[in-house]
Amino acid sequence: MESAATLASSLIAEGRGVFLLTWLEKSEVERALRIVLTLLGETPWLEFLVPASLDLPNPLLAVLEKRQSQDTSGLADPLLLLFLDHTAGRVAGPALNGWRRGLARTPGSLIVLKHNEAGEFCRGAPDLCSFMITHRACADSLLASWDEDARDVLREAWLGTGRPRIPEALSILPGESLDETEFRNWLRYHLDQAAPARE
Amino acid sequence: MAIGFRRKRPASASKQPLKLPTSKLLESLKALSAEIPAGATKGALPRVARASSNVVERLDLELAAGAGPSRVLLTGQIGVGKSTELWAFANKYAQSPSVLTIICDLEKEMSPERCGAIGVLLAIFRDAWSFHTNVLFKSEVPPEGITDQVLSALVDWLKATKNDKGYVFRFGGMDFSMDLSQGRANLSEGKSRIVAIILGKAAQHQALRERDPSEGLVPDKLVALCNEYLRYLKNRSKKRVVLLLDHVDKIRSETAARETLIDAVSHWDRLDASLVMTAPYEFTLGAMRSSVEGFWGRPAVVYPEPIPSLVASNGDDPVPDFYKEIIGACGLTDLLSDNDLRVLAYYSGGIPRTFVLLLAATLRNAIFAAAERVEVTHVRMAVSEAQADYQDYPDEHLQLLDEIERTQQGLGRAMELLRSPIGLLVQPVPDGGTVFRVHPLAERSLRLYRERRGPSRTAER
Repeated sequence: MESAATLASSLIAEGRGVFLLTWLEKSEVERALRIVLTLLGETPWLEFLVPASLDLPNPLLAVLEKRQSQDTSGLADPLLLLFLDHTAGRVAGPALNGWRRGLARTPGSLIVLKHNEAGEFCRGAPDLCSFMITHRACADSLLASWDEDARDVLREAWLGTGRPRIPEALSILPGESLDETEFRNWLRYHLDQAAPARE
Repeated sequence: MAIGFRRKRPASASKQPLKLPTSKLLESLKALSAEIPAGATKGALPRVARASSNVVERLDLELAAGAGPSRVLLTGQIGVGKSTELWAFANKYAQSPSVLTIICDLEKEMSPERCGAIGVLLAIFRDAWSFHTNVLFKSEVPPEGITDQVLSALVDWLKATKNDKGYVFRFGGMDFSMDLSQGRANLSEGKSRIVAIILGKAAQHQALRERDPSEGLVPDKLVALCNEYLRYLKNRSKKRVVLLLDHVDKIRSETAARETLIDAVSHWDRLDASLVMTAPYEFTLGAMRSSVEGFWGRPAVVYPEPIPSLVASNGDDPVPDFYKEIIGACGLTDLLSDNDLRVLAYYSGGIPRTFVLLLAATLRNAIFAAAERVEVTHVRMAVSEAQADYQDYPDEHLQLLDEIERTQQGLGRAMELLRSPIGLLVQPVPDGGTVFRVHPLAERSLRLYRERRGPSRTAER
C-alpha cells in the first residue's frame, strides 16, 4: 500500500478483514497510525498489546472468543488494533492463527508489528496470513499522499485546536516517540504541498 | 503487560471517515469475500464448479459404497476451497429424504491449531446439538432423557457445582453461572440451553487443558453419549447422519494431528454417523501418510485450478471458465478485460482464495483512482503488493523450492512451502499423478535467489 490514507481507505472499502502494518522506526508507525485513525473518523477502536507469550492476554481472548462465536457483527463492534511486542512475531503467530474469523469480523483488525518479525509471524500463522495477501503495509515506506477530502479531514483534526488521541500501546513499544510539534509541522508542510512526498 | 482499553474518537476528530467514490466497482468489492466459503451463505460468492477436482462426486461415491458409516479425509492446500466443497456437498443434500448433513466447525474453538481428539469430539457434539433446535426441528429441544444424561456427564467431567438456580462451571479461570430457568418457558428448554452453552464453552477451552491420564484421549462417557445422541438424530429423522468436520485442517501441531488422524480412530469408528473431515495437507503426506491412509483410505484432494499462461497465445489457451464465472458473479464481466483477468488468474496460482484477494486489491486500486473500470495498472499494483509477501521467504525455503521444482521430489519436506505464502503448488495431471510447480507469485523471489547463488548453479540447471 502506498500511503497511510490508502490503508485507511482499504479498511473502509472492505469493511472487514485482517490488515498488517509493519514498522522499522517507531516514529514512522506513530505517524502512520495518527493518519489512519484520523481518516477512519468515528470508527471505534480497541487496542491490545500482545506480549511474546504463547498465551494471548485475557481481555483480548474474551473479545476474540465473543467475535469468533457470533454469526453476525454488532453495529458498534470496534476495529481491533493489536500491537505485537517487538519480539512477539514467532510466538504470537500460532496464538493468533486460529482467531481469523474473530479478527476479520467487521470492521476488521490491524496487526502492528516490527518489520523483521513479519516473516516469522506469517510462518507461525499460515491460515491467518493467507487472508492477508495485499493487506500489508510498511509504515516506513508509506508516502505522504492523500486526496482533497483526506487533506481536509487531517487538517481539521490535527492543525486546529483539537488534539486527537493515539493508541496508548505506542508509548510501550521500544524506540523514540514522534514529537507532537514535529508531526504537526510535517503534516502542515505536506498538506500544503501539491505533489506527494515521502512520509 | 496486557492492556485493553477502549478509545472512541474525541470530539475534535473528524466524525465522518473518508468518503469513497460510489461506483459499480465498490459494489463488486463489497460482494467479494474470501472469508466466507463460496455458496455457504446468502452473502457469499456462489460456488463455481471445479475443473481440477471432483470432490463432491468422490464423497457421493464414498457414502454410497459401504453398508456402514464412511470415513473420508478431505485435504488440499491453504485457500484451495476445501470448505467450499464441503458446503457444496452439504447443500446438495440439504433437502435429501435419506441423508442428514451436519457441518461441525473446529474454527469456533480456541487455538484450533493445537486441538486434539477431544477438541474435535466437542465440536461434533456442540454443532450436532445446536443443529437439533436451530435447523432440524425448529425450536424443539432434544428429549429430556438424553439432555439430562449429557448435562449430568458434563457436570461430572467439568467438576461443576450445583447452586439453587442451576450450575456453576469454570472455564479459563472464570466462573460461569448457568441458571436453569433464565429466559426459558420450561425446565427442558433451560437444560438444553445449558448443554448447548457448556458444549460450546468446553469446546473452546477444554481442548487445550491438561488431560487427566485416566481419561485417555477422550472421556469414554462423552463418546458414548455423543453416539447415543447421533443415533437419536438418525432414528428421529429417519436419515443417515453425515458429519462434515470443517477446519480440522487448521491443526498445525504434529502431536494434535497424529492424535486426531491416527490415535483416535477407534473413537471415530464408534460413531454411528459418516464422517468427512478436512485434514492438514502436510500431515497426509510424508511420515504419517501410510498410517493415515490405513484407516481413512486415500484422502479426497482439492487441487488448485488450472492456470492460464501469462500471455495469450493464438487463442488456444483461453482463461478457464472458473475465473470468468467468479468475476461474472460479482458483476465485473464488462469492467475487467480478458487480459487483466488472465494476469490475475495466472498470479493466483489457481488458488481461489488468492484469486479473490488479488481481485479485491485490484478493485481497491481502481476505486481509489476513481476509475470506472479496471485498468492494467490496477492489476499490476495488486500483483506487486502480493509479491512483496515473498520477500520474507528465508533462503532455506527457496533452496528447497528450487530443489523440488528441479527434481519433482521431496514433497514430504515441503510443509512450509505448502502453507501461506504458498511457494509450491501441487497440481494434478491427466494420468492421475501430480506435478510440483512454483507458485507464480514466488517465481520472482526464486529467480532472484538463483541469481544470487551465481552462474555456476544456474548452469547446472
